[in-house]
Amino acid sequence: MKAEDLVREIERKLGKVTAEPGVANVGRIASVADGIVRVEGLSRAGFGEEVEFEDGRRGLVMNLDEDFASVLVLAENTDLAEGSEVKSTGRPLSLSVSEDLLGRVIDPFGTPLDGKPLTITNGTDMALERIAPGVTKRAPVEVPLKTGVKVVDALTPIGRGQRQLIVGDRNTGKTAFTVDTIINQRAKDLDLPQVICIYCAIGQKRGSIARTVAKLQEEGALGFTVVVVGSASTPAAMQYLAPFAACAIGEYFMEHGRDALVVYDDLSRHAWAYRQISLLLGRPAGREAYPGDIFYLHSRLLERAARLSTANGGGSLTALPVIQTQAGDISAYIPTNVISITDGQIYLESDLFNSGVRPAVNAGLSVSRVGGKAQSKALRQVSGLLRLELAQYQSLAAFSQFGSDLDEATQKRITRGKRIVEILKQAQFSPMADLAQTVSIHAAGAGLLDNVPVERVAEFERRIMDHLRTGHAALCAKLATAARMDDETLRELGEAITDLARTLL
Amino acid sequence: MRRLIDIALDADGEVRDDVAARVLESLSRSDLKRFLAALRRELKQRRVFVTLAGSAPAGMDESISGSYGGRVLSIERDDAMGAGVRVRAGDDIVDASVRGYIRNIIEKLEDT
Repeated sequence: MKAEDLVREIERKLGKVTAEPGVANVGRIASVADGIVRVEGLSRAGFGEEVEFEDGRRGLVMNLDEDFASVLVLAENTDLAEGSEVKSTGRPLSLSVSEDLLGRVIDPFGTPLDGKPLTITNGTDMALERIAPGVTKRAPVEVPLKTGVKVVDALTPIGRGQRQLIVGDRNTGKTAFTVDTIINQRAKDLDLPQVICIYCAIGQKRGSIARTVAKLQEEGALGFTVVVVGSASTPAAMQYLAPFAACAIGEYFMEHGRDALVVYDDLSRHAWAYRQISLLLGRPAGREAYPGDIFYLHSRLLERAARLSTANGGGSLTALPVIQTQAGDISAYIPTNVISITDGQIYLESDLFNSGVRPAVNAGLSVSRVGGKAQSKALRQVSGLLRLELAQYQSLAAFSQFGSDLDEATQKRITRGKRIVEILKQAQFSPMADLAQTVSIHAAGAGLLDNVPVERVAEFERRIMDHLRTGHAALCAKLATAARMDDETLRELGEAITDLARTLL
Repeated sequence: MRRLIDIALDADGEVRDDVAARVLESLSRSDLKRFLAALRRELKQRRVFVTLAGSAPAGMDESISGSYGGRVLSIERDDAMGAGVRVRAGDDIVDASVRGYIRNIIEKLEDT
């Protein structure tokens, strides 16, 4: 650029600035304690409004009392003093969102935490608190969101725009499942449009977050992911706002006609942060000391997940909230709240995890209320009876130690059940395509592996796709359409599977 | 406390004698402190604080007081403002001083 052009550009920019009388509604700090500031004045401030302190730091109006407003300080270290001025801004708390956020790690206000500068070009200011799309703007959930995890895609399928809860004790693979789901989005399975992912870490240790980010980077998934962090070492205000910021980012992409996925990891810690803030604000404590609006806190957040109708752009926002249970108690306060809000849950069980069944999904307690319609036709066809077979096996598994004393039908059921359990096992960070899932599940569910030793089922799974691609290319092409299989295709597939199974006896 | 202030103070800023006596007799020490803070706040709200550089032009008092429903004015002089006027009524501030304009422009330039 020539110097003269730069002069003109600066003049143009400066020329845009118009000076108007400053009009402000102000208050004065009456007290500061535990991240909560009581402000006298601010008579025009509204609930949820952003306010500005003298040092430029921001605050959020949480309570409006007769004599003062309670403001949540949105900063880690402050030197706010009694008597200093607070200015209302007249706008709700928001962050600037654009494609520039992809691949970045940010805090709830969009400040980069990955050590690199962040410039948002053509950003849209997205309010953290927004009203969820209304009924008329929505379309039914019928496009699959492939997780790449067999047991989930077969038994509790997730659709784009759905809210599916991941619930389980600590160390049962909840975060691993959500990371696997994000990693699987790089594949664009079934020729579906790319899903933009937002991973929201709430109350987690910084080391754990760093590991997750490194894994996403290593697997090539960070490029289409935004990581929003409200870590354990940040004030409760950051942890409280992190999921709302993540949701606002997801809404930006949804409103631009894209498909987005938000993982809230986890909402138990979010509830703890909100409980802490509520108690400090002096709000009445209810059950387990949670405030009375703890249900509304999560329902208004999760209700923002939606699939928009074509007239409204056709974008979607899928929510995967995570809840940590204590000693497997899913009937505790927060788990039951979130279970009732979401469209289904995936329950991960410690006993299954410790016995080597990973992902440790309890098929009996896991359910997807709307995802069935979003499943590919072929996968739905082969997994229809899988849940029943699995449930029957689990109820009979206790008798398996009696061995030959059992009748033939029971023995057969146990034999098949063992192979189904084996085929549903899946290593971490190894998502599977819809086609491979369909073949594996058909093989076990239809009893084609009943004669294969349980310890060789994994080997079968490793070899079957190569076997089909090399020896049955035409069948493979037919299966790749993911359409419902006719009798002829099923017969051909059965023969191909039996050919390989025979070599493993 | 808000309601008690509304009962105690009339539109002219006068306190009824019976209410004043009742307040002094019946309120506890802590309630009296809260009442005092609320009363001070209310009295402040009812005044309009005007700061200007130089002397007030003729007719300014009536003009500003009229804009704020005839509230009583407290006028201060601050030549450091350069020129113009700064009006504070309750929590609302209108800064039409040269100093305010300059600060406003600096903030806008920083934002862009």
